Amino acid sequence: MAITGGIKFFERNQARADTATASGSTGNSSAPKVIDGNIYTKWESVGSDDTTAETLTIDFTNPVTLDRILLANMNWKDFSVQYDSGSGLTAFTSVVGLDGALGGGLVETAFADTTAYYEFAQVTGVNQLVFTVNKTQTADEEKRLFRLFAMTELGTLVGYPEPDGPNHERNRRVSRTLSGKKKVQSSFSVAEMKLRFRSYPTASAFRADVTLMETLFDRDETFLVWPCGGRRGEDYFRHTPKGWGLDDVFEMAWTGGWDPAFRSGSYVNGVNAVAEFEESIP
Amino acid sequence: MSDPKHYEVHVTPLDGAETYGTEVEITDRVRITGLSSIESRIDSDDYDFGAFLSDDLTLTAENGDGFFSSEMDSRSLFKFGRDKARVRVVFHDPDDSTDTLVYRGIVDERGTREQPDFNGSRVRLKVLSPDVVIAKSKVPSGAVGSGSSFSTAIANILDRAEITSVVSFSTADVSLSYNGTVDDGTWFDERGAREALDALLLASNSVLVVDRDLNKIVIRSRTANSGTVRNLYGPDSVSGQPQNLIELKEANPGRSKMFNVVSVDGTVASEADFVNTFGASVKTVELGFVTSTATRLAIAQALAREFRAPKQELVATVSTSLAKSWGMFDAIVFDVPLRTKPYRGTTSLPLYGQAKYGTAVYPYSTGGLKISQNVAYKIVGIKTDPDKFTTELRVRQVGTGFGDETIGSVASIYGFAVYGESVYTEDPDLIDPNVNSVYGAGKYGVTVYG
Repeated sequence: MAITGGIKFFERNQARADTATASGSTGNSSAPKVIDGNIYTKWESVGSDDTTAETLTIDFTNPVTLDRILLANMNWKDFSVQYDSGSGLTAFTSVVGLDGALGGGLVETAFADTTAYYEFAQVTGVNQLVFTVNKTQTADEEKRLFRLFAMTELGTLVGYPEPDGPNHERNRRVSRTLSGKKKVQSSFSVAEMKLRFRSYPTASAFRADVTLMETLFDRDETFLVWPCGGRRGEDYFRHTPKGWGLDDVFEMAWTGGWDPAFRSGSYVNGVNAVAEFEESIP
Repeated sequence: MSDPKHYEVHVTPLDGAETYGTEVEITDRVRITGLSSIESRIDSDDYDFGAFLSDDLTLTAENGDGFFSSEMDSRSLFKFGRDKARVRVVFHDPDDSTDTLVYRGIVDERGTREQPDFNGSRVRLKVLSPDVVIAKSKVPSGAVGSGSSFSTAIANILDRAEITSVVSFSTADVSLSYNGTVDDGTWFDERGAREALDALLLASNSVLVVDRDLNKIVIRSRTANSGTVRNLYGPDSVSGQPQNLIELKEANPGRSKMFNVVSVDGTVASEADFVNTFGASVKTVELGFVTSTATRLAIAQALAREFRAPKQELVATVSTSLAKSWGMFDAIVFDVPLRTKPYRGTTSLPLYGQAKYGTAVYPYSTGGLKISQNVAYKIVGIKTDPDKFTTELRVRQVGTGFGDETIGSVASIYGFAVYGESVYTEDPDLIDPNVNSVYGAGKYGVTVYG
């Protein structure tokens, strides 16, 4: 069984610079970059090759509960992940990756994507995560990872509401200069997204999607949105525009209202509604 | 749905000439747009230095039942008048289950307006900081004796029942930057207490703040508070901490509040080094109660030393949840790097220890405002927007001289090389202690291999 469902929503990443620390067996100075939220900075080992195992360790300030891990933009081929809840390093159970179930914990030997995602039986009281990396996809490269997400899932859309976005905005300000030419100043890219539920199906599985949206609406904290939900390839996306890649995970907050309406006013019909989120700071 | 963030408003009416009754919550009667921004700040305008705290609030409440009418209306809450009724505004934050007092004031009848009409009635209550009672008071003749110290004079002006019935005062809460001597106490006779107090605050290079939690007057220097330093992080902060800074604006180099030549009734003090560096910026002060040349000189020197160097000012907007317990003169540091993006064709920023000589390419960096992570600022103004749950902090670099705005030695912070800047040097003579040394982001003349 592979990862199922559509757009995924998660609690805030527990592996953040304000809630955890990161260290590496080598490249220790850059290890904190995996939890800094910056898509351009990375941890990279130093002087490593495929004969040398490297470890990346995440220590949580307070014990956390996890059931999902996402490794965004990395080059690992052969690696494993374990956790410690006070009883020593322990393997995850019931692990499912992008291509299906993994036996024997979170262990990969021939991983070939640049982003990895795992669902596993929920673990509580986690103090530490240890990533052991043996080989890289291109042999003997330095091991590197740009972003680490460790969290719990809020829900996955079963159905497919019509997405508007993620739309990206760089707050470009255009000024006309004395020469008549323009000067364009840009800021960071910020994503926002709408999901239009049009006469949404009424089967129970799809009602859970509406309930999920209302959970997000009621929420005051930010949450993670993974638009592709683990799907990739032409079977799912003929184009993979910005925002729909495996490593496109956004921390967002609900910004619009929530106006569910029964189609044609009939109570037994599906619901029309629009959910709006935008990238936000906590 | 969880309990959302919200403000609560409480009023305590008078039940006698100088006594107060029971506090009543009026949150449900205040219009959602009826709570104005709550602001307090030290100093007044550019090209001047004030020494007072201004803290006003306007509440617009529904008054269809006469609840907020004057004492002439038997239905009113205010049986003994609205003037001087106490007001508290509390910020309820469910994130940490706290209720934080964000404002304490008293109603000012002069500024209160009623808007009665057949479609609905509203009252706009003007609420002023408790220290407004000082403005409504006069200094009695003989209250300030010639030869008394500034601190004694301040105590004689403030420690009177008409003031302390509204806001408490203790000589233990007076700590002046300069405590001179009053030469002519008669200057204060029958003068407005506010004017008299302002003159003494100016002469002593001190400020008045109202401790809202304890409802007491505190008179103190302008020095930043010691202890916890507040951290503000911008996007992609060097330390990797999540962003908590919403906006930065109104940055100015502080020249408009720089005065390096001060004249007190003709006696002049000058900070020569700063005049030579920045040019002369003159401030003239007249203090009728000081006739001693020595005292005038000491005052001029104290003021010139305080304001001799330009200190950058900024306005930082943060969420009220973050800053709800922050106060005047709390120290702040910023971790707001320039916007840095990998050079085209590359996907990551070059980090020290990763970047390979001859291969790595310096990234782009943009942004018009560079803020050193080693520089501390102090809060000199707080403006809370109850509608957006945001707080604007007006901050000014700490210190009074060259390079004393830093909070410690040159820091080592893991960062990244910046295009056009990064040059490694081993020449310690080129070190500029005022420029942040960022490990892996060597700035010209700064980074030294150990």
